[in-house]
Amino acid sequence: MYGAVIIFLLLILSSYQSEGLPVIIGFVLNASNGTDANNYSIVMWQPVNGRSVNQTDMIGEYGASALGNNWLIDCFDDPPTNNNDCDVDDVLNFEIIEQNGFTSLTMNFTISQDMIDMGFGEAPNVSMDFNFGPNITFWNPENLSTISGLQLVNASVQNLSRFNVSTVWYSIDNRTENHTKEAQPGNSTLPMHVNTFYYNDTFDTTLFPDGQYLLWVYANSSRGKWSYNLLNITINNTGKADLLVNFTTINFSDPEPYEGENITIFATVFNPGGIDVPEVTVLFYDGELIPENLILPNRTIGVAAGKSNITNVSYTPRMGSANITVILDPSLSDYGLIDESNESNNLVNTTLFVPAYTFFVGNLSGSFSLGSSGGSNLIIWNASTISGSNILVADSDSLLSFTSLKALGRDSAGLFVENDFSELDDLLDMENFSDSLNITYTAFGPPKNMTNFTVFSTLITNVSYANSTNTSGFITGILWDTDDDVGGDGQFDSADQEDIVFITRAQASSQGAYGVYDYEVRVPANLRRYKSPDTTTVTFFIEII
Amino acid sequence: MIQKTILVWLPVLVIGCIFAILFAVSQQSTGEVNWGRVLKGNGASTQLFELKKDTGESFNRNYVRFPIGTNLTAAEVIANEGVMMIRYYDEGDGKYVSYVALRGGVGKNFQITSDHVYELFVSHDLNLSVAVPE
Repeated sequence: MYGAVIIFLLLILSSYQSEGLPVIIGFVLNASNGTDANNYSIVMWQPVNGRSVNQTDMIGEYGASALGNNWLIDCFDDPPTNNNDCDVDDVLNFEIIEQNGFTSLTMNFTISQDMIDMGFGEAPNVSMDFNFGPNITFWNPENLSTISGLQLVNASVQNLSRFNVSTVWYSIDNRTENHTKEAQPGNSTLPMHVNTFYYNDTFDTTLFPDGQYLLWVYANSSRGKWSYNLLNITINNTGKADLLVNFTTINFSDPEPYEGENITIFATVFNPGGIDVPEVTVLFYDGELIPENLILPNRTIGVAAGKSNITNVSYTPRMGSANITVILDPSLSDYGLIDESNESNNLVNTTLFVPAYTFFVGNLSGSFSLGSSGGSNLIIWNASTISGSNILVADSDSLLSFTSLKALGRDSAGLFVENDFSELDDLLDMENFSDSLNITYTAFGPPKNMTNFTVFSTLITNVSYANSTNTSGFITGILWDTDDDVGGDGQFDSADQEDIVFITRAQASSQGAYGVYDYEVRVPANLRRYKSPDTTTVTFFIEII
Repeated sequence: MIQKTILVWLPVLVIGCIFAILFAVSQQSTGEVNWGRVLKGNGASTQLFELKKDTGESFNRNYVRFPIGTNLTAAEVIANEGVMMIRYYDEGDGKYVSYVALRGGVGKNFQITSDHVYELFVSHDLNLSVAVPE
């Protein structure tokens, strides 16, 4: 017992001996939008005592620091309920007291012996930040939609502040009762500053009587700032069907097809309504909604209440943009054959883009030999060194004079001609494309890039070129055949429609857009139609050096 | 029964008294006000304060009372090499008022008077000379 008393007294004495009374000084950075931190206040507390036991100081010259963007708190100035001074190894938290939406992260530091000895210590710098509530965007369901069965609630939550988003939840509110469900935001990690994640959850609409409701999604920042977005929805589990398509459920077997590729268009049809639909007609259109643009055959599928079904059609895209439309239960003007709770969600369209070019890539290998009828080789080319070899591509109907080739955009005398590219666009039906030759190869007239090629030992200068793809490993230039200039104007023109050649230079084992290979060339898909009668093929020429 | 109680608690009281005395002595020694020493020469007087650095092992508190008529500011005091902070207790506000030798001087640059006892923190042991007004 005596020992316990002695230890107790020693503790009292040792506590007194280690007592320290440092002044804490800190610096506050203004908010990133320039809002001045001065005249806001700092609150400091010991976590062991809780935030309610605290000390405060105004930032800036009107506070104890009397210095702009600084604060000063004397640990000895205990709040009335706190008898603990700042001692060595004590942890202190501090933050900017939220005012006008501005606050800060909660910072902490530990009192050191040096602080005690020197009489003061410096807290870490802290920056002032606006405590935005997260931004919530609904993706599903849609506003004013009718829903049934198990309903997916899908929203994107964007964090606009430096404070974590702590919770996202939804609530169904019919103004007389609330049904709230809290959930963590999917599998996403909780985001930091300016980050977006997707919130997914489901609720069982069958728990609610049919009727109109408000669907709320709330998100809460870790600093207590919450925000919400809401939708008007109708729950209908007993009355009518509701056939629905939206752009997120139109898919292509190849979302980046080339011209003429046979692809499949898939459409997912939902029925969040309350009754099954045994049969519904699904129409696919390519372009304007006229019979000539129907992508046949029309499809008929069944969709059970609260379920979905997928249908598809085959499609061969053309060059350029195609506006693909899917219509359920035609016709729209008379609301079709099926009585639905929402007749306005039976149409959706989306765009499919097909580039105007075909890209050829590959390797050059092997050997070529010129042989006699008796089988004797007269000349053998070994294609082991192929870098610098020219690869020329022309419409198969062209008769090329390889020594008469000139750069497109140059006349036979080598002078600049501005309209060659637009004329060739017209001939290839590319004039309205965003990747027309004129746009790809010229800067509204003058060529973007020029280089020289040597073809059949003839130097061709000032050849306009573009990168063959989105990499810079290979280029493609354009030439025209002056031998076809029957009109004698000395330049390429649509009247003579001189032969056109796309040329690239082989680069052994170089990186291209589709891998590592020896050549990569961009050729307009319509080059095969440049001259008749053949409209299906282009011809490759390889000039081995 | 009473005797037994006395026998049990008497030693406790004795030990408690010893620690109470030690506590009071410790408090007195660390809270002693430094009046300084007056040095005269060449027709002028200065008051010399021997200031001790507080360390983790010792507990030297530099409580200073400046001479009557002192005309100094806190900034002028911390301008002395080694003086890191000066503060006094404002009975009116019930708070300390501090001035710290950091970032060009943090805190209110108060006027030094002989009415307050000031606490000084120094980075090393040093002598602080203050002119004694005539």
